[in-house]
Amino acid sequence: MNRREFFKASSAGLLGAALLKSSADPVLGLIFPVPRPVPPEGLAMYPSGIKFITFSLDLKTLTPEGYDAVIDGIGPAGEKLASQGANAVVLMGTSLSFYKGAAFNERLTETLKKTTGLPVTTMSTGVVEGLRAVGAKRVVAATAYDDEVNRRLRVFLKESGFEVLGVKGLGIEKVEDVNRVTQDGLLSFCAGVRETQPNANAMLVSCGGLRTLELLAPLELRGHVPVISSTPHALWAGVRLLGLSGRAPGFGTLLSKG
Amino acid sequence: MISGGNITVMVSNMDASVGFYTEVLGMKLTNRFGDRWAAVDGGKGLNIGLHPVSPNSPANQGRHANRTEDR
Repeated sequence: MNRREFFKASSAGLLGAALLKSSADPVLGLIFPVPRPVPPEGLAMYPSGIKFITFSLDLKTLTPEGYDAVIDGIGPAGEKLASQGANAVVLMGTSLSFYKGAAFNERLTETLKKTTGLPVTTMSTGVVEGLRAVGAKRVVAATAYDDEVNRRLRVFLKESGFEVLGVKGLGIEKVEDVNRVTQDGLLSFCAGVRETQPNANAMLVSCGGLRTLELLAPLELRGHVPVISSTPHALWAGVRLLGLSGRAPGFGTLLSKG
Repeated sequence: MISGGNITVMVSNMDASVGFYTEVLGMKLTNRFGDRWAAVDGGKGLNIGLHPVSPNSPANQGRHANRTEDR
């Protein structure tokens, strides 16, 4: 490639794609509801052997209206990631994929598969697969959401075959308010939610905006049940699409065994 | 003497409970999400989470449930 071709390719964004395609590491494409870089959780779970590339939507609120406003952008986002060399794609939004129920999540996945020609999963599918993998039957969920989105989560989980004993949210609607939640605070909140439902045999912490990776093991220690959460287990599901185990020792029951 | 850990207290009135812990006992409010959940710093690493009693939390309905575990 000469100098002129180099600049032409760079300006078109094709150089990065070519470099990624030439890489030996598989590439996982992540569609985020809100602008964010490669998630630190991904790099902590899988520090080598996988490349992450991202494309972000512009979700403003954690509400059905907010999701409706960005839903049409998911297909083009997938196409963009495919053109950049992704080998599989994950839609990194839990409520964005469950808010219209399990059948909608399936349709969303199938549409994205056809659009990209790649293996595809969603954050909602990731947490359901995670819950099934740990033998969840009776689930308690702690979330960032308001009552309406929690109601829809309850429906989605029931449609996915779980008995939902309780769903409790922080009532957050504005995306930026998720940043108010500290790690210590989230641990305390989730521990309390778990205590309200002692008959649950698994816990879900739902919302990709919440940093949960480092809380999985402490929460399991306190609550004595396996804990599944959005970003870690969506990444786990996505990495498995690449033909890898998804094992990430030290981050709770499921990730430790892969 | 409790040192460190996490206590969950089910409360029937969030405003009154937050007022009790912060104004009467002088603890610092560290988190407040409306009437859904609040947390106060009990000192020496002790976190006290305040959750409202609700019909969806039958195990704790009508009573306070305290639980402490070491960090």
